[in-house]
Formats: sequence, structure tokens, C-alpha cells
Amino acid sequence: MSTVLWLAGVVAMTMFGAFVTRLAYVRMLERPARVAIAFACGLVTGGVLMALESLVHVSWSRATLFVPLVLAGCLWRRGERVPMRAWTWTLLAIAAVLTCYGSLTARQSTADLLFFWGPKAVHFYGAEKIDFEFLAAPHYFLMHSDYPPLLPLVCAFGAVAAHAVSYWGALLFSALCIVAAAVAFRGMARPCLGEMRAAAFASLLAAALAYGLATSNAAGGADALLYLLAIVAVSALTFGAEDRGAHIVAAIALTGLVLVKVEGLPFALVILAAYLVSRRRVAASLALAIVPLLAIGAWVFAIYHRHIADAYTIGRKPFHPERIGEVMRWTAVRVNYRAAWLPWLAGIVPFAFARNPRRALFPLLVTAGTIAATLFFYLQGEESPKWWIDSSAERVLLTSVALLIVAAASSSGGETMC
Amino acid sequence: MDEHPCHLTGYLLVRTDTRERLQIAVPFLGAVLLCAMLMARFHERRAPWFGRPETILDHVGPEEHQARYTLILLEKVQPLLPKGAYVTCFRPVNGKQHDDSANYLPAVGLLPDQIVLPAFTASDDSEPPVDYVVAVGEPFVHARYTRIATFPEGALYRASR
Repeated sequence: MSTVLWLAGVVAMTMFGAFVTRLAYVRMLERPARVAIAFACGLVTGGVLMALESLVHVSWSRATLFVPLVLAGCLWRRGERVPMRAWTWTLLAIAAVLTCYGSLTARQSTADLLFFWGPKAVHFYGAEKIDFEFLAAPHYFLMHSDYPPLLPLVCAFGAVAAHAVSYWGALLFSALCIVAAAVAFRGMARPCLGEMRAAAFASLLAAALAYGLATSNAAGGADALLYLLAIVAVSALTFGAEDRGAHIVAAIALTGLVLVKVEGLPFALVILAAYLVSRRRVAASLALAIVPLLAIGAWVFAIYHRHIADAYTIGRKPFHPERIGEVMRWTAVRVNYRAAWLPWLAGIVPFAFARNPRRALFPLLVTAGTIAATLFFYLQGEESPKWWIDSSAERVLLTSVALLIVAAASSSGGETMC
Repeated sequence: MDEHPCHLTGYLLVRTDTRERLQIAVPFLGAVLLCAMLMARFHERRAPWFGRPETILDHVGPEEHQARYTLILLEKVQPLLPKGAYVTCFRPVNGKQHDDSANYLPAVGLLPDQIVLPAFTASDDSEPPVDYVVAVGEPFVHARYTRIATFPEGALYRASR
């Protein structure tokens, strides 16, 4: 029962994102996509609200969190009615059922949920704030105290609803993020690609993410939330590049991206740089960067102030460019996903039938940039990165796989509305 | 097919049509293949396929996860621990404590009403020692500690003051 309540609480965070349904860009999308985008933006907005309440010493409670939630929900606005053919959802639904099955039968769980994401959420909920005393305790140093707090915040929000953090709920939340990512992508791509192509690539995206999540045992961690936010940001900037509403959605998703995992910051910088290079819009790129940089700046200030900075310490580890050959080799072998690189091939093959390769420039630059950023991280440190690559490359580079599929989709469509 | 280039010649129309069909068919085919591979991946992670798992680590691989028994044991010992008690959790080696993050870190989240500390707090020279030791799998041997509950997955020990 507590799992159901916990999940209901987390899903209710969609209401924090209700304001995005007032954007003309979001209103014209199909209804499931509107909900998925509001869900992604709601998780970010709710997380930021919890962090702000923590900052001004307002304890989290049903009153301090649910009243703003209901007020935010009042901003929900019905969008245009976009007709959909039900059967085009079949494969996406099958992938959704499979990934939920994997979570419910404990077939894709990450131990990181037990080692640090879960304990942080439990203690944040118990303290009714971001518990810096807990994070700063030397005994808990191995819990990566300075990792960004968005996932524990979301889990703590669910706990306020259910009176406990649900680890099973956290596993299902990962599955939900993957489904939401594919649904949001489908809705944003459809005006450019048409329903059939958008449905085809959304099904591929859902299947690739579900498969990658299971192969890398990443459910319950922050990776699925990172995929959701990266896909929302890149899809909005790819398919709605000239639209102010798309920029607002992308800025919120980028804010979440930098607050969800350490690699979220370089990924967000890659997205901003790729947007600047491909669209040549300096003012828009700067506007996109403001809120995410403020958010991560506040977190970095907090962790330095509390003396728990570790992963964000500049020059902490020596850089070994001479290892690039072996790092690339190990990474390439590791990310075959035990399927002969099928997820990558599924993203590459559609380029053979590309109609609009120019539109794919931005997402392709982001894909290349996320791969380069990941390899750059593996080149740091004294010891051999083999173990690090083995334990993380599959789930980290699943972001790049997903963005490659977004790029393939964007290259396939005609010129309508884009 | 959303837009037909009707102005093209018949030959090009067929070619464009084929390309558009492939643009839709290839991603769908990729999705089918990946869903099939996903089912294969789930299948190799051991039966039962539809039973309710005991822990969130029950089927994460072909072999059992090392922290699985810890999760079961912690759920059993939790009602026996007073609120605010100092606790540690580890798998003893030769009857002694050792640095064991794989068992200690989950306890930090699963025993929220207690204060969970690392395994060294149950060493011979730790002063004061933790109130309780959750020993996974192997017996824990220490003059100060008495076994107060035994389970198939391990035992709970209390410090005598």
C-alpha cells in the first residue's frame, strides 16, 4: 500500500509542472505528451521548491508541500484535441509493460538505490529538509555526499505522501521516467515528422531505453530521470527550435539535468554548446543557460560551504590523455549492451533513409558531445578506469543512444511546421 | 505516409514511397528486436517469473546478489531494535568485523530510526562500542556482545555494558 501511495505522490508532482500547459507550444501537442512534459517539469519544479523550503528553514510536511502542489495544479489548462490512432501506441505500450515488469520482479534494480540514493531520501524525509548534517557525517562519505539532490528530493516528496520511502516505488519510478521520455518525445516530434514516424521512433526510443535500463541494472538510480530530462530538453530544442515555449520547457529540463547527476552538468553544457553552434543564436543560448547555471551554482556553493565537495572539485584527479586508446576500446566493448551494439545500430541505420539530415545536426552534436564528455571523465584518475567503465559505461552512454535515436528521427521527417 | 510528393514522376514516387515506408518500418523493427532481446535478458535472470520477489535484488543477475540476505535480515531485526540505538551491520570474517560497505550502507537507509555506524565501531578497541551488531551470514565473536536473536540469514547481537 505504501508503494502505491508513494508512487501516487510522485506522479502528483506533475501538478507542479501544470504551468507549462499554458504555453502555446505545449498546448498544441497530443495529450499524453502534455502530461509527460508536465511530469518532467513538475519533478524539477517540485524538487527546486523543496530545496528552497529547506534553504529558508521551512520543514517539509503535507501542508508545506501539498498546498503549493494544489495551487500549482490550478494552472493546468486543457490543450487542443489532437487525434491519435490507438494502434500506433502498441509497441511503446509493450516496451512500457516490459520495463514495469522488470522493475516489479526486481530484474533491473541497481544496488546504488540501497547504497546511497535510498538512504539519502530516507534521511531527508526524516529531517524534513536537505539533511546536510547527515551528508557531512564522515561515516557516510561513501554515499557520495555531494551528488546533486533531485532524486532524493523526489523520493522524499513521495515519502511525505506515503509516510515512508518506497524502494519498490523508486524502481517503478525509473520505468515511469522511461515511458514519459518516449511519450514526450513522440508528442514533440509529431508536428515535424507526422504521427507514423513519431510513433515508430518513440517505440524505438522506449524499447532502447527499457533494454538499456535492464542490461545495465539501472532502475532505482538517477539515470532514468536523467534520460527523461535530457530527451525532453533535446527534443524541445530539436523540434521546436524557434518556439519560445519550447525554450522554456528545455530550460526547465536542463535545470533538472544539472540537479540529477554529476554528469548532468557536462551534458547540459554540451546541449547548450551544440545549440549555440548549430543555431547560432547567442541570446537564446544564454537565456537557456541562466536558470540551470543558477541551480547548479547554488548546489556547488552549498556543498563547498558544508565542506563535502568531492566530485565537483576541480583538478581533483590527474588527467591521463595517453589512455585514450584503451579507454575507447574498453568503452566500445562494454557498450555493446550484450546485443552486438543493437541499440546503437537501431539509431544509426535510419540515417540511410534520411530526408532532412540538416535538422539532425543539433542532436548529433549533442550525441557526440555526451560521448566525448563521458570518455573525458574516464581519462581522469590514478588507477585504471577499467572497473569504472565496466560499472558505469552502459548506463551513462544510454543517454547518447537515446539522443542518437532523437537525431535519427529528426533527420527522417519532412519540412512540415519545422 | 504523411506527405506524398505528388508532383514527382511515377518512378520517383515509388522510390520516395519506399523510403518513407523504410523510415517507419526500420524503427518499428528495431523496437521489436529490442523488446525481444529485453525478454531474453529478463529470462536469464532466474525463475520465478511472476512470483513476488522478497527483495529488490532478487533477480538482478544469474547469481544471487551479495546484499540480498542483508535486506531480508534487516527487515527481521528492525522490530527488535529500540529507537535511537547505535547499530552496525556487516558480514563477519573469521568471527570479526571488517570494512563492509555492501552490508553497512543499505542498513543506513533501512534502519531509519536507528543510528547506523560503520563496522569498525564493533572492533575490539572501539570505545564505546555500538549497542547492536547485525551479523550477516557468519557468526560474530566478541566478548562484549551476546547473541539475542538468530535467523537463517544471520543474527543480532547486543552489547553488554
